[in-house]
Amino acid sequence: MNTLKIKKAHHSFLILLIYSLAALTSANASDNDLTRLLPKQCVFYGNFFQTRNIERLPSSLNSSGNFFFSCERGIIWQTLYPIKSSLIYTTDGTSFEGTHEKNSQQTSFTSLNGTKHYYLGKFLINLLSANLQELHSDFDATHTTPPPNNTLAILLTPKNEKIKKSLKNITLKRQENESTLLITINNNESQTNIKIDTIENTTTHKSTLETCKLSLKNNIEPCDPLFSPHNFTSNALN
Amino acid sequence: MINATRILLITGFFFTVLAASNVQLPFTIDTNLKDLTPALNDDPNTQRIIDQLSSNIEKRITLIIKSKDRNSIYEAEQELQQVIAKIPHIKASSLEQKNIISALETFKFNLLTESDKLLLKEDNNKIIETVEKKLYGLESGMSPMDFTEDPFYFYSNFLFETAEKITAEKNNNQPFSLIRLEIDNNAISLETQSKLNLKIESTILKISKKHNVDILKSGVFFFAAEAAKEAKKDIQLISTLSSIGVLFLLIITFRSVKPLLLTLTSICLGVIFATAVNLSIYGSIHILTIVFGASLIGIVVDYSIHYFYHQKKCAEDNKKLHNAMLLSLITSVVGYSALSLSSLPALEKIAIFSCAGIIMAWLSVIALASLFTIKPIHNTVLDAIPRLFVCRLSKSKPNTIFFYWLLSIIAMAGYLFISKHIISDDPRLFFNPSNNLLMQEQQANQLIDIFEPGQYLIAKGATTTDIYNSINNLNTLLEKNNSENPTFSIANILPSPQEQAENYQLQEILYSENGALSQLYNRLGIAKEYINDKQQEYKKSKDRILYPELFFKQINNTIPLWITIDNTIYSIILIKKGANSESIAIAAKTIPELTYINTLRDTAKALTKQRISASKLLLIAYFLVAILLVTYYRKLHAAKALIVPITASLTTLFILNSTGTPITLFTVMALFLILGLGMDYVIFITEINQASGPTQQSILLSTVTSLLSFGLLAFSSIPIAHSFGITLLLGSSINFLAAIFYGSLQNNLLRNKG
Repeated sequence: MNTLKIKKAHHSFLILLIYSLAALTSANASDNDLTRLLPKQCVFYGNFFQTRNIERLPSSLNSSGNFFFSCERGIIWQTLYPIKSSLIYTTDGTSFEGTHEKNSQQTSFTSLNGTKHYYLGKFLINLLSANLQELHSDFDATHTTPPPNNTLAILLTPKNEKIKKSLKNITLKRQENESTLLITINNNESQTNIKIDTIENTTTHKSTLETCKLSLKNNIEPCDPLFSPHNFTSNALN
Repeated sequence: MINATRILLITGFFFTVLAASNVQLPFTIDTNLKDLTPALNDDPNTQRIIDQLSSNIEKRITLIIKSKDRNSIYEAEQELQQVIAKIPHIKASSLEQKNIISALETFKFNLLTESDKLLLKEDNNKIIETVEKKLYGLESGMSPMDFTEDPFYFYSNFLFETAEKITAEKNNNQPFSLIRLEIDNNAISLETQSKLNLKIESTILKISKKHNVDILKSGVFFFAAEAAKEAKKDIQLISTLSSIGVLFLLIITFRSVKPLLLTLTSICLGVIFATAVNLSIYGSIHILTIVFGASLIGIVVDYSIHYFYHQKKCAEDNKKLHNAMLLSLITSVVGYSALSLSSLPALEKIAIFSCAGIIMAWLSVIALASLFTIKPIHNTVLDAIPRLFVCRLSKSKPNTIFFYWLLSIIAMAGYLFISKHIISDDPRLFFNPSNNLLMQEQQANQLIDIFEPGQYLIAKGATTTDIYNSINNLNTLLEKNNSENPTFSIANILPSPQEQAENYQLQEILYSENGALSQLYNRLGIAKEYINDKQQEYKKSKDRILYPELFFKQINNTIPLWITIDNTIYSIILIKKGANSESIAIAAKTIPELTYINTLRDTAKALTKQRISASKLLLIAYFLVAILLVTYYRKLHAAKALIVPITASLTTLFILNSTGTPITLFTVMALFLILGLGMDYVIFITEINQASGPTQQSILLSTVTSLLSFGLLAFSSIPIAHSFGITLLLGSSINFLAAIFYGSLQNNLLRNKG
């Protein structure tokens, strides 16, 4: 079947909302620029600061935390302020959400199903691992005009008209000789700025798991689902 | 008789002209596969739902673009959409997401996911914490509704979850893109379907080559188009070979243009009249009617052959010939009419087409033949062939031979009765799809959830609540056995009215004074007026229920999941391809309001039923012909003429059985024609002259023309045409041999008496 109209409707809807963040980029900005802008290592970690502006809100919503990335394993995105939570996206498409239990001071992990997290995870992994082929697939990459002095900035605009309706663009910005990467996601109603700084490269003598635990000093628990996802899927959870 | 036939011929001619004036040319050639399946349900309303759903599904096409390179997929998709937008009779089947959101938005307080229902049982702090997690989290910008519109993200979650449930896309690492298309009603005609299919095929080929992508196609349309293409190929082959063969035979036999003119006139008039009758009744001609209609040439030409072989100079002397021809016509009409006993619409159309065609051809031969008199025919080759088959045995003790003949028939009938037959009532007899199409369908199913087009459930009820109760009962039963529910119904898109009211009620605590909304907004520093606005919005939404009728009215281009007929609601529950349909059928059996429809199984059952009833009717037809013969000749032993078609039928069945060829409904249908053709031969032998050269020659010619037309169906790629053709190929040959043998026995009997 044949297949059905109603599914089409929701499919396009889903594409609009989710697929927009699936995989990224292309075009006028050269691959070299993107490579210069994005982290070069396979394993790294750092801190992030996120600012979100929402209509009617008197002030922006600020949050911060740390992250760990391994091009082979995936990413841990840990928010520490003002709430404590973590998202773990593995390279094989599994996603988990870590919730900090106030009473026990422990983190419980829930498997996240659905294409929303699947594509969000893929997007982040493709971006941070500088997977140019994937990035070029869905976005046109151009230099912002005029480019600020000493700043490399690339504007990613969705190619797909349907995606454009919910996602205006994504800006990637980096000061020359600085480790701070600024990602700005412009939606129709809100703007989200993600500032990734203090990107640390791994030292060769440490294992990736050790690096993960080292990078997430305050709460190392999310390293476990990233490195052993099968222990956390289905009924093994909670 | 000639005058009467002339009046009838003129009447038929005027009817044809009148019918043609009302037909829009070129007329529609129908390729609908539905005509090949019998009515599956005794309840006319349920049958209406089945028909409505089938025709809706038949119009839907899915194209899947696959490649390792996402960029290629994207570019191929863009180009494919642009090209398709310019192709007539096809359009993108899209439901704008804004339509869905706006259709549901007024009722958003009634819509909750299961996890949000659980969350609402927690205290306010937990609820606020969950919202904050979203506001500050990474996924914050990914909601379909703005925070100010949907502060707890419940409506966004509902939209997401609903989309997740009903989206066809399966989570796997293979990148692909989907394009869903809808064909308009006009594309059912052969011409449009063929052009459209070619256009789609060439577009797919061009774009897949250009962008280095694989494009899979899925949909009933492609199967119908392939079936029509095969049928068209067969029509061309059968009609060309049959026409060439028949013309060649007539030229070498008559060595005159006159018989050729009469034959061609009768064929043309027969075919045009049959087409006019079919168009007047059905408004279109089914492709299968044309395939079988092409084989009509074999019957129609017989009238000219018999006429020219037996014509006399004096009209009075032709009385015997006319009587024989009338009897021959009656037996052929009886044979063809039997096809209409089947409840398959396509066979009914064939029966009407064939009966109308042969009656008109017969009328034209009788009415016009006197204008085409020729010299008596002497053909030594044709005369010698039948004599080869008349063995010396027939010259001695004809009664004893008749007895042994009868005995051997009884023995054969006994053997066939006790032996195990290979019987096939498989609906795939209608059409054997190519491996390429089946493979593409399978590959598509690995990427997206495709629903079974021929398997689903119909829930019937007086009220909306009845329907939802039936669906819930089914889901409870299915969820006991499966981790994932393999069905899709209205309940996947829209909560029941009762559930909507409960969902609304559950949120009351959020929008009350100092409820979670106030606490959340205060924490975020949002002005008080906005709190009041939201609280008022919630209050105003009380008692608003979104009923399925309204929902489907707003989203009007979906498949018909909700239909009301005569104050009864029918709701379709779709089944995912590859699901264990047996367990679904067992579960559905326990719920009286549910009807499990399995078109493949039900068609097989209907075909079995029809094969059995057709076999019984065949026996009745033999009995009626026996009565006709006894009444006409006023002799009891006149019925023994039936030995010819009986021998042909039983021997055919014996051969089919011995060679492992399955017996199908169409084998039985062909046996009716074997009766008609066999009686034709016997009638001319009995009426004109038992073993005269011209009679034997005319029967031989008649057999050869039948083999050229019906027999060629045996080489058709359409399984039913093949089954029909192989039976007639064997039956007609044996009819000829048996008729010649019968004629010489009769001749000896008369000689012995004389």
